[in-house]
Amino acid sequence: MSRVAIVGSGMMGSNLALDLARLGHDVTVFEKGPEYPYPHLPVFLAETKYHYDDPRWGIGHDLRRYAMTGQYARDLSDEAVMHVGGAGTRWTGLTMRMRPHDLHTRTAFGYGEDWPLEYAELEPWYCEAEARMGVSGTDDDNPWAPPRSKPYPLPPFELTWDDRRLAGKLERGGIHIHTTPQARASRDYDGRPACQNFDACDVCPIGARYSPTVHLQRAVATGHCTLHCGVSVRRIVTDASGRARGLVARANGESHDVEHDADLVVVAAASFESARLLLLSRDARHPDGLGNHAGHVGKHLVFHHIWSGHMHYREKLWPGRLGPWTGQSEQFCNPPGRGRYGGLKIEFPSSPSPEHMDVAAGASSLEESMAAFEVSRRCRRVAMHAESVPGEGKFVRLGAGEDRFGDPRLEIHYDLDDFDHRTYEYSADVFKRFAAASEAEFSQYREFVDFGTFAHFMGTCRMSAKPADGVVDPYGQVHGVPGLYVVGLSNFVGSGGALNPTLTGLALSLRSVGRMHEELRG
Amino acid sequence: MSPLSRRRFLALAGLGVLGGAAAAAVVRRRRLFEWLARPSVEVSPVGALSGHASATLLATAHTLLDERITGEVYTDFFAWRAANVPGFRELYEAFTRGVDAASRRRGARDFAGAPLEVRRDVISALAPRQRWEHLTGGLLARQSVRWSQHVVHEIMRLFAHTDAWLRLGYDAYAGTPAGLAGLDAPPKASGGSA
Repeated sequence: MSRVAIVGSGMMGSNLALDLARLGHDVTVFEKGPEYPYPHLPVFLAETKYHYDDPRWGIGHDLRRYAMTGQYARDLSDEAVMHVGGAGTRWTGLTMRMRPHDLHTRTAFGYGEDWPLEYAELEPWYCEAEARMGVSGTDDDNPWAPPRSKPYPLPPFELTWDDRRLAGKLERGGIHIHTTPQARASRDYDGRPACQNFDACDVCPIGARYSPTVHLQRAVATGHCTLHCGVSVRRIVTDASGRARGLVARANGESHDVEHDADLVVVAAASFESARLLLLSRDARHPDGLGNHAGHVGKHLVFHHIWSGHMHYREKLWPGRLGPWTGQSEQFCNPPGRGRYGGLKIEFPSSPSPEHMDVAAGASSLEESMAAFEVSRRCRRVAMHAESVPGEGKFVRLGAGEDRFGDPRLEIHYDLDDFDHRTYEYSADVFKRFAAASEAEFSQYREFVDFGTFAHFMGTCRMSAKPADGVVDPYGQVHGVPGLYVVGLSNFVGSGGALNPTLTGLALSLRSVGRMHEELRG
Repeated sequence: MSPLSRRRFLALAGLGVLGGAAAAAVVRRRRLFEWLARPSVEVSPVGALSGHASATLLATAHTLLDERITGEVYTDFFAWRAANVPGFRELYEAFTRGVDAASRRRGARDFAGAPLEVRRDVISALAPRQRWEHLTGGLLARQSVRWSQHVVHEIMRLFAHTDAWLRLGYDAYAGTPAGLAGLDAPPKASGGSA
């Protein structure tokens, strides 16, 4: 039986663990963070009913702190999710496919780099990933949807009343809103119950919204998978031939390392930690880190930029009645000026504005609270989910300062560039169109530097056909290091357009399983 | 260049130290304000909340809001926190002792049994209104600021996440299984108004 070590128990790690364990390999998963309950009922109760952020489900700052430099105003240490299941336990479940032209922006639009991969190669794995997660959706109302060979596994969540009101207004202005594919079960699916509309998808208490932990639990149940929580992998070990042969890890509360042998090592630790681990694993043969012979590890970092705004209406729209949202628009993903600026996917977060909720919650009287909250009934938020491109000012590298074990912290440097500026200007114009078409009484859009990422961090270990151009091949195999794979969003070449990246990350990972299995069988 | 005199050297060094301290204070100002305005809860054992404390906390919610609130939402909240989060049972019991004592000084038997005006008077004395009051309160009346933050503010936050939704015309609030039916129309409780 071949031994596989997987670093990270998130979306990619958990699904690879299941597939490789089912193929009969002896899988060990190392997770830096602690256990995290699944279904997430205890978390849901603590956070939603009792407003308590339980420290048992987090990790010490000395193990997760990043050094932030550049223009990104928020602390990404707080955005990285480190516990069993990773960020896949806290997402809203939006599952969009990339468009064929998103893989070839250099050829099609003259910017970025082309992926060494065709949409047709990925398409069956999109179907597999959608089946794995139980995606509810339809393309019937989305004229911009890419080709698909199989229908969605589950019917869509229809637009809610407030989204339909908005859609009607916007349609008259030439803007089309359609349903949103999401990994939230609209009917009972694969042992998971249908959504009961707790309106708290990020901590879904019943498992209707997909969490990778459901598949990690199934992996462990095969008897071929062991999970180690609260264990930090410090470096990957290679043998004299340069092949990965295991890793060195330390339990977070211990003072000594443990060496773990493996025939195959898979790094599935999200963009920051995956790059950091490769850089920490430098040795005599790889003085700049594993896979870094051409200096690409940590370069090509890119975020999706989310600029948001508010639109206020005379009528009450009653937002916040079904999860995060049901409607979105992919109409602006591929704008006529693409190349000069990036595409946008438009989202309509349905939940009441956090700003209004904060004012209401911080009020000193019932009347004050109601007045603040009342505004939110007439308000819709708009989130412009923008693509971006890598550049000189966007990277991660080992920086100053050390973690608990004396290993260098990661420095994340992120500066916005001219492309981003032009994309912002375009998004502001689109926002104005939305406000005008929907007859908003009042609207407000955020400033250029005031953006979020929705934890879409990509590109630190990008794929390339040639070893000189990237870190991994199109299957995640690290160039020049047999037996070592890196999977997930870190493999992206650019931001992959403006669409949410998780489904693509999982499709890429599932596509790699066959290659890994072949390699293990020799 | 003439060498520095001892006096001049000391003066410059003193200025340097003061400048450094001022810079550090600016950097830490936010953290200092946090420390003053948001005192943390001192760790102590979890456990069941006494019936009297539970009644006092519910009376506090009635005082801050009104008698129409969904009482069990608030009593459940405080009971859960007391039973699950270290420090909160003692905080709530101490709060109860504190507002009882304040009520007795105003002629009532205890807080929960006091007239509404007395209860309002007791609660309003807890809450800082101005930023400077947060700072002075954080130093001089730390326990009151702690109660304000972890009892008064929590009640208002709980209201904003629960009863406020129902009063505005929603059929349910986030965290309750509202089901998927009826989402193609305005909430029933709103009377279909838009």
